[in-house]
Amino acid sequence: MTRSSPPASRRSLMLSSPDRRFLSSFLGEDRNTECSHRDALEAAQAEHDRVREAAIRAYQLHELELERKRIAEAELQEKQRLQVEAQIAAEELRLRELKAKTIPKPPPEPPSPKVEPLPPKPAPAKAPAQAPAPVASKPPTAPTLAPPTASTANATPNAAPSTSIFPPAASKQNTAPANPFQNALSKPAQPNNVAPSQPTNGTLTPAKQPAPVQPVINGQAANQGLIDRYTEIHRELKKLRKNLVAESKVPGSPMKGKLGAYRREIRVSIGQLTGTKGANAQPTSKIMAALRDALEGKVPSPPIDVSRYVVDQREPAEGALHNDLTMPSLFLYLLNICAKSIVSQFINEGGANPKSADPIGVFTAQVFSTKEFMWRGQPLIDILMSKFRVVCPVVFGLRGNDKTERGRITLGWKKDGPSWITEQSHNDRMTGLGAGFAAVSLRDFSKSARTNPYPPTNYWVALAGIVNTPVGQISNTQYVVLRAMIGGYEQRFLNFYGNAGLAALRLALIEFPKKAPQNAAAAGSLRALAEVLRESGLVLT
Amino acid sequence: MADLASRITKPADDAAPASETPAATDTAAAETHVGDAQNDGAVESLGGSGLQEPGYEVEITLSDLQQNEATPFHSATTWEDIGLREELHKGLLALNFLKPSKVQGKSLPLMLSDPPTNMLAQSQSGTGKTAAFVTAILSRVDFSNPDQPQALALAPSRELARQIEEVIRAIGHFIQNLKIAPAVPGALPRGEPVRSAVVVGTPGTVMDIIRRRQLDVSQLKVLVLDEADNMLDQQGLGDQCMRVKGMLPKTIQTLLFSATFPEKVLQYANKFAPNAHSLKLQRSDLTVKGISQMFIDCPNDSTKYDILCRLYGLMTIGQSVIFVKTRESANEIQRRMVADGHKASALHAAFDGSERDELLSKFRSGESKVLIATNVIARGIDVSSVSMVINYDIPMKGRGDTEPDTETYLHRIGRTGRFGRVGVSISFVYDKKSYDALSSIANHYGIDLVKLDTDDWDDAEERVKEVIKKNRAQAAYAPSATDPQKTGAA
Repeated sequence: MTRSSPPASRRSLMLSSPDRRFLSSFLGEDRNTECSHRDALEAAQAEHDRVREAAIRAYQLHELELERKRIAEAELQEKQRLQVEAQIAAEELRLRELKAKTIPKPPPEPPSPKVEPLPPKPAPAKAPAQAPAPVASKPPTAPTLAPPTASTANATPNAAPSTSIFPPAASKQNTAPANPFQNALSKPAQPNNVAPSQPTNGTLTPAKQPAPVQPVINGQAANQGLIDRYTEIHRELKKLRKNLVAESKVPGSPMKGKLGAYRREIRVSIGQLTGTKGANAQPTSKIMAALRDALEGKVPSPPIDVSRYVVDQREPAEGALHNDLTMPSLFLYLLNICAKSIVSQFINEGGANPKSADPIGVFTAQVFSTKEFMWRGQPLIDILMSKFRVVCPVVFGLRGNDKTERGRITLGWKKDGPSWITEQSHNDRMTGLGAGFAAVSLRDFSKSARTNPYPPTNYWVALAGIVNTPVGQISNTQYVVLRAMIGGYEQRFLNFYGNAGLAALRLALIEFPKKAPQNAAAAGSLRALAEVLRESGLVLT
Repeated sequence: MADLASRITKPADDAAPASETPAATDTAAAETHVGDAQNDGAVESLGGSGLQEPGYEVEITLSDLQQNEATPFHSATTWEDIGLREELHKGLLALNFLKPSKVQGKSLPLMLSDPPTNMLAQSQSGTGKTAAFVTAILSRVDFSNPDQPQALALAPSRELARQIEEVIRAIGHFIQNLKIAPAVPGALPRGEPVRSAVVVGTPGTVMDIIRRRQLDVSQLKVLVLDEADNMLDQQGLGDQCMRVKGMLPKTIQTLLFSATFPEKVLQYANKFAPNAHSLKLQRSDLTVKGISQMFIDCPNDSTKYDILCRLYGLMTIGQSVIFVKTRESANEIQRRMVADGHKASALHAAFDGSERDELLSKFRSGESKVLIATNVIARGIDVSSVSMVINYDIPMKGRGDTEPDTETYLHRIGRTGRFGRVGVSISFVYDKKSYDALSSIANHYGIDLVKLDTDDWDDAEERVKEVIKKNRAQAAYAPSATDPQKTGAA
């Protein structure tokens, strides 16, 4: 550009220099003759043309450049689209395959005999919990919304369409390459994808922002399979507990007297956990010792099929310490007692003092990530999660009305005899459980050689499941749980999710309370939490 | 489905008007219903009346009686109804106080009405008394004049005063210019005038700073006595309180709060706070019904410790407080419990003030989970996750400990079951004297003490589970914190 339009002074110079006539002619006699005027005009005309041509050329060049860029961009977009489409197609294929596989299998597994493998899981461990029917609803979950998001972990959530950073479902697929969540489609909250999730925390923590994964929140049916499976596991555990207690009462049983003693010891030890550094070594090792005793048969107990207590179908894994179909029943019983005590401690102590949940979360991660206590190379954390499913369903995306009987059942509102527990007690429980869920799911394994048994993606999915609730289905219980999940854990969450986490918090603390129904007093407490956080420097608006 | 729902809804609709019928029996039922609902500020509970049809879509609603302002059962059920200033409302919500508890809903409208009237409020331990008067204080103070002392709260111990100070700070979190002066020994710089709108302290120190003209009392508008019976009864404190009161403006609004008000104190209280509104309880309603009270008959004194430690395996315990008679046994139990992996600390009068502050704040933060204490903290100390209180020694009073100390028993067990939570209290007896003392306490309050056998710990575990369950179910029908019929200006 500059070349084509030189400053005026220079132009005159250029004009005169060729014949060096200017000065002299200016002073000469003939300076006013027609001829000299014509000369000058001609020169001017020539210069004008030259400049114009130069300008036109530059303009054309520029246009070409623009065009090139546009095409390149289009190409890129097209590529991305193709990629996504391919992923979706693949996912769909897989789903179809799954469905095909699932449906044939009949056994409704009533009082299922011991060794019966879990029916529904033929899938490649990917989409375990698939309940045949409901799943179908998922594929439609617009993968469309997702694309923009996932690919650019960071910027994404912010840029996301105003309404929600949580594009319904599917988005995980885009992240596919390294994405831990492939299977998320079928079962978002899935812990047992441990296998896939292993890479997760590897990538997760260090990278700081794993692409937020979108749970299938658009309907409760979405993760119905998982939810049902947890309920099943819960039932199985109850059976186990009953059987074993009965067995231990039989005169001459090697478990006589031991079962109860171990149980109480575990309960005492979990009650002793505190947040002080190093203070938990004694109780932790006591519990581990009890579990080991059972595992090594110090107190002998009949073996039992472990597949009943995990969501996914597991094949023997290389390097795993326990690859048999069975493990000692006492071990599973004690692990179950451990899970029970953990949940109970969350409820009883965490309700009044949410901070107390954190050390218990540390302990939980520690026990379930211990190799000896895994089965076929993956943690047995489903035992704990099946309990959460029963006591705090909202973290699995379940929704219900606080004001109706049915709604309360869905929300895990407890009953005392014939009547519901009071609202205050219910809120207390939910506070403890929300904090407990965060304490379990927001553990940082980046500096550990172990694998996170319940990685942070589960937290994201739970958060999304609450925040994306359609206006008509929001309950006070969700606000209570959400507040407990966030309060005190915001920093941890941001460490994992960065900007995406910030956007999620904004949605949870600013936008979500706006949708509160009139009776939801807890929404106000979320707003108040946002203010408290602002004072500490976390500005969300 | 819709069909089913509509059919089910009908009986409930019918039931509601029924509870309004003035027939004596019905009113009684409704009353328990209301009470129960208000007990924790949990208004929707489905207590009493015939509403328990397990219909699926039945709406769970407030009792009509409670919603009707004309009935004596009405009480403020949301913070909005009370009309607090916004910062205050926000502060309460931030603390997760979503709705007023019964004593708060009842007392706040009275305390905040103009012209200011005195008030005497009795409510069981852990029902939100502190938050009630703190809210009243913060509503009364004019924060455009933050350096001028305007409210004074007195408590019987430095721990309690410190705790009240913290509650004020927490509820007043969003109030700018909020300044609180702790008038406890060693906390205020000598010789400097108090420049805070709110003063919290023990009577002795407060008396001192008034005499030394550190505290300008001329603009004080509210005086609160927490644990008022203790403050007025105890020889030393009662005397000091009266003297403090004498130095304050005659127009000051006086608020008296406690879980217990023995008869003789009550008469004195009327002199201290004339023409007060009063909220009182009957003696049988004094104990919080949510606390499961049990006792263990130990074979002898030396087996007590072993049994004590095993108790922690019987149920899920958050934090616990163990009350003992002497400092020596407190220290000894602490030593053994720590060796067993418990985070335990001992708290008694051998520690000086700041040590006690620190011990207690460790307990409050959850850093220690077992507190072994003499009577120092029997009253008022609120650590909400205490789920078990143990009377390692039965509280006694009088010369040579001849008489069971019923009030102290009540305050001790009131350290658990805070705000409607589940709590357990277990008392140890091991000889005739302790057994008799405990029985007489149980008789005094009409408590149904459950004996816990410890020969077979599996059985004991089952038993505890049963008791807690049964007790919780009963708690739903317990008369509520403040009996509405006793409300009114005296």
